[in-house]
Amino acid sequence: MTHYGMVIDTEKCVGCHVCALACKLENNLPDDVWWNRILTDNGGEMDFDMVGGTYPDNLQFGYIPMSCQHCENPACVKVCPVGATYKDPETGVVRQDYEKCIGCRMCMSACPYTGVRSFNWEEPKYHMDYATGSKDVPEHQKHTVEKCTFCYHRTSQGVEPACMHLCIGRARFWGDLDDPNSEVSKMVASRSYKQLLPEEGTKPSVYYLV
Amino acid sequence: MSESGTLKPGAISRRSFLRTSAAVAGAAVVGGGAVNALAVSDTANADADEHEVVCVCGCNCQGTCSLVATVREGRMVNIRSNENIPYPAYERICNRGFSHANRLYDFNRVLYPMKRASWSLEEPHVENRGSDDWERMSWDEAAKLVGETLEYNTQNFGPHSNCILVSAGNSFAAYGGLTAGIGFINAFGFQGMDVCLDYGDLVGIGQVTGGGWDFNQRNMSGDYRFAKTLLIWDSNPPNSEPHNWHFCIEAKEAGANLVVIDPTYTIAARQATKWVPIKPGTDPALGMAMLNVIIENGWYDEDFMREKTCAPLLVREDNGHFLRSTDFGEAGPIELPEYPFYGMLLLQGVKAGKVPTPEEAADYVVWDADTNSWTTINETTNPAMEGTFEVNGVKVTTAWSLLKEHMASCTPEWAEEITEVPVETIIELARMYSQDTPSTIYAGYHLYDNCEEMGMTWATLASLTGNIGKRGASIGHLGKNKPSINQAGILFPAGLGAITDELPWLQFPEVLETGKYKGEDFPVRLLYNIGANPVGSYAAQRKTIEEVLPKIPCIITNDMEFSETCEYSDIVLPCTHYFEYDWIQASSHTPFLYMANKVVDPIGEAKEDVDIFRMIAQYTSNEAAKKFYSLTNEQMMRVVLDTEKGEPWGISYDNLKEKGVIADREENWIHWEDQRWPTMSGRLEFYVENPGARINIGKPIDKDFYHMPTYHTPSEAYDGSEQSKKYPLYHYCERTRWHLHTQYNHAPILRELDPEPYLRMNPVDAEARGIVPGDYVEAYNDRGHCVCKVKFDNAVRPGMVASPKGWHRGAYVAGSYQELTNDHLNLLHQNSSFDDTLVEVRKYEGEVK
Repeated sequence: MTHYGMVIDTEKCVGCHVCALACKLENNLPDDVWWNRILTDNGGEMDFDMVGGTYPDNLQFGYIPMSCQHCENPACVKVCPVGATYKDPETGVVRQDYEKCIGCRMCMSACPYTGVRSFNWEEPKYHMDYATGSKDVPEHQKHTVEKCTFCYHRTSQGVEPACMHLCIGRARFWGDLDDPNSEVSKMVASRSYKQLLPEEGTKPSVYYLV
Repeated sequence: MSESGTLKPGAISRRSFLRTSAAVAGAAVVGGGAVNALAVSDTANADADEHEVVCVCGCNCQGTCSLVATVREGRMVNIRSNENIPYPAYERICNRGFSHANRLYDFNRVLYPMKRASWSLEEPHVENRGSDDWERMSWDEAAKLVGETLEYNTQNFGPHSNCILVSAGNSFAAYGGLTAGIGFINAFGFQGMDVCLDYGDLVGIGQVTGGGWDFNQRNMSGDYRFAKTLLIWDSNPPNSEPHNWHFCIEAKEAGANLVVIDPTYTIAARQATKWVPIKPGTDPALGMAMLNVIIENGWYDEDFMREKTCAPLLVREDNGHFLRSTDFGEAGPIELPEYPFYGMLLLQGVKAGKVPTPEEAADYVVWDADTNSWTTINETTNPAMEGTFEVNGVKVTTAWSLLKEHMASCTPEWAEEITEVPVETIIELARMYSQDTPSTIYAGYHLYDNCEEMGMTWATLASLTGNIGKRGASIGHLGKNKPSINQAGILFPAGLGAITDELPWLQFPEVLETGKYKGEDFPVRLLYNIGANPVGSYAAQRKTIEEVLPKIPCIITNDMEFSETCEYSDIVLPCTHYFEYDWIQASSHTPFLYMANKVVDPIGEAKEDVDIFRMIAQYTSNEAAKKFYSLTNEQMMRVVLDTEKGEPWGISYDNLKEKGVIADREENWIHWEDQRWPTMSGRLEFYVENPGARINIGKPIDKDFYHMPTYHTPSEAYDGSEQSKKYPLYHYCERTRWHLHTQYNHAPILRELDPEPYLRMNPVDAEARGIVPGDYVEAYNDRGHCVCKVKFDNAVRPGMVASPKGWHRGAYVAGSYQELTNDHLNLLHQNSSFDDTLVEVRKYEGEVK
């Protein structure tokens, strides 16, 4: 079996947003929708890019790129009443079927990773008057929940997710976590890492090297 | 006029930044109001196929990313980094690169040639700038108006009354962009303007290396991987030059010291092995103390100094020049040319390429330690390194002795007082740099009035320790010279003889005020901005708007976006985005040459600059210029590319067109690898014989002061300055990842993440002023003010505040960060010291719309 996963080296991430913008463009995301956000780890609630702590000796600063964690044990799948959110048995990717989604947003409240999903309250709006990105991405729909697809339209064609094409900090990696010889498996085996909210028991497929 | 539609002008509204989801088609805006644009759909062709085009970003961060754009139905829909390049380590793209579709079609593009309604050559009505209506013109009308105006000025006031300000808003390029503008100046013999940007520490470094104020200094960025110590000084590469950073991190992973010297705790500082917070503007003192420590501990490389530097050369006590054997001939001491030699950036490379052989630099006199008598430099292997001697009655001292004596007072204790960097840290930095070698100094721009001392200090550190011209060892700014193409062929169509020194922007106010330059009458009739946005980008914005521009009867601007400068212009001509025409990217920060292929058709009636100049030339009487512009664009590109010099790298127009990207350097190219430099002696001259102003503006400098690194304060940003009594906070302009100078201001996709300007403050300073998070604040000084949101940030050193560089003034509630910045003219470096700025900040109590 294949189990797609991501490894992000937080020691190298510079918060550049290339991965976030690649996602935005590739998936023709509507205005103000971001499937991949870059959070600032400053020990508090401060704004993006703002450093926490005390100058100069006790400063806290780092970035956490955050998108759907494609959990092995996804909380969202369990609560979807119509099977719109489901785990792809071939890849382990947590998918969202816009055609089935009834907009109940149960998945959003069940998911402990706040903000990785968004809900189109209105007809999606776009800066551009034409669709950007891949012509293979499903059309965004009013009253549906959406999130990172792990670029299923690409990976199913053997192409890496858009956010993985090039990380300028060389901090992002993806591959098959079930293959012990994959780059991601080796990194997870050899480096210290953290996962987000492990206590939730969701078993995320995203590993943050620390 | 072909169409006299009333295009409502005025400042771009703050609202338009806060809510940027304007539909794109037909939403071109000329300063706030919608214009019935040529709808984008008119230019979109019916080609339903999807195809890819290899193109290049031209925004002049100098990252020069090779990109692959996807085009569907005639419009760009996607972009990615080009993985098919000669050295994969240089694969690159940034967040701004992903916004190009936004920029191509964004609401702020200039679509048509336009004229301000009440402007005419006879009655310019400069008082109406910024509030006048715009009239659309046909290209023929516009070219005729511009051509005849240039011609009229040339005939009646001389060609130099037409001042042309060319900058790199559309890339440095080897064909297109900046090159097109410089060629235009030269073809007609107009007065070129010097931008006074980023040259400060360049000129300091260049006086020592002999490279003038050429940007091309460091080794290629792949070489950083081989450094054992990397000093990142005055720079935050992850934001400003993001593609270089992974090379620095590779060095760190291989065990190097990765040190960031910066008042602010940046992401670079976060990822470094050591962060050295420093009092702003004092960095030269830190470097000078490092020199002192290196000297005191004997951590210098004496062999390198003897063989590669001016250390053993003898300095005459009477005139401060090196002693040459020819001094004793009939002609006497030679008259020294000043460093640097040419008053124009693109000729610095010519200077930097002239490296004398030892035979050509054989006249230097040294003291032979073996025979205890004088001889010439190539006649001994053991010149005395230290001492004072008398040669034929002339008293002389070795340059090394002079430097040792000169640096003796720059103790770590002295520097700690100034820099607030602890003595032990200074000593440790000096040890790392000189002992954990090879070492590289990755310089940013020290935007303070003492920047030339910063540059001289860096170059002197390298001279003493041999950290230059070697694997893993270089200093200064990143770049490469480009001897394998023929840029001069289109830069200087009228020949090198037609070149005159450029007129520095910082000297411009005085010229306009007095009508004189270097003692001669100098009427200025016209300012033509090409890829330049002086209102947005240059210091003391209010002065530019209220005092400088009103003295010029005609202002013309070529731009793709309706910049602040367009708002204050009389004629605005739409030029293409760099994805809308074929051009050549020569690049400084990568070992490549690129064909920047056209991705999509130009929007509206935009034309590339060369085509604009070609049309204008038809309405002048300059036959030579017309002949130059009779070349097709492809012929011009062939002038640049089809040369014998490029053959070893396979450089030709046809080959570049086919391949898209060609390597023109080794992956980890070492600058000055043959260990000779373009000084007169061919050695690193840490003792500068004859310091000179960057450009001769007819004002003398104190030459005695500039022979060796000597600390002086910034112009206002130091404790105890006159201004500091009223304005206690140090204000600097940070490079964020969201802007590049004043580009990318309007790309909606970026504005979602970075919606409005702000002032970053340490909570300590904010709270002392009763400011709380979410407040709007006013930063102000005698030059102007700005009102924007406050952001609390503990990364900012207490006593400092920071504005993100680049924002359009329309995005502020009032004023602009650029009103605050310092336009002091330093006679030597003539560089804009933006960060040499003091302000006070108060809570803004007015209404925020």
